[in-house]
Amino acid sequence: MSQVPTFTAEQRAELEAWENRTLSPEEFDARVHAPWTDREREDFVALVAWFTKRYPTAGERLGAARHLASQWLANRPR
Amino acid sequence: MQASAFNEVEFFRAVATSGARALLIGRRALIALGLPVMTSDYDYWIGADDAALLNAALRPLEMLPTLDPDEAKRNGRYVIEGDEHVDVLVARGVSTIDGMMVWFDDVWTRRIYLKITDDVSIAIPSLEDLILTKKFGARPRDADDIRWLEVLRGSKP
Repeated sequence: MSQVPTFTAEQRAELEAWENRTLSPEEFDARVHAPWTDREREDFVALVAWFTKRYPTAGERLGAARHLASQWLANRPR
Repeated sequence: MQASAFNEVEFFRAVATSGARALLIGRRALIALGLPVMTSDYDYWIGADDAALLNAALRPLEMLPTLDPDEAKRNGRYVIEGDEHVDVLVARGVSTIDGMMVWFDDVWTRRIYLKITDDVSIAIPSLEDLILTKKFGARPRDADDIRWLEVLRGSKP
């Protein structure tokens, strides 16, 4: 049995609305300027280094992202 | 679900040769710059009078606009749909969440090109301008994207 949580259409719509909400200028500024932890920054730099080494050109990066997105859409729990 | 027959290189070629001043913005631009983020659509900001050129270039790819150019200009944005979804911002200027007007002509002047293949390139805003475009919508993910773009900007010589 799958252990992956699934969402109803209603829950998914609610999440989408939450993610697409417009923040107030104060909320937006606070989120932009929230301090990075050392771990967060290291992880981010490592991820970008991996991505740009694995896909050195803009064309390769865009192609890879499109491919990965279609795989994710195909395999996501419904 | 299979990936559609959509050919991304031919899409970018059609945009690049359309004659429209078209800037790839949104998360696809971040990906092109090297940030591994997810997105499901394409976002463009085009010159206020360039919708007809862009629409004509994408029609052979069976991508069709939801509004005619005059309606699109009045509305400020429209969608081009086919195998993929393209959100098009068509405005001379847009205000950021903190009230700064960002003008297309200025952003276009400062654009940079990224090579897709030997004969196809895409135009995107400069890093600084891309950060400003992220302040148009001011959604949580836009703030996150700015954080990442700022790190990328800090790592550039």
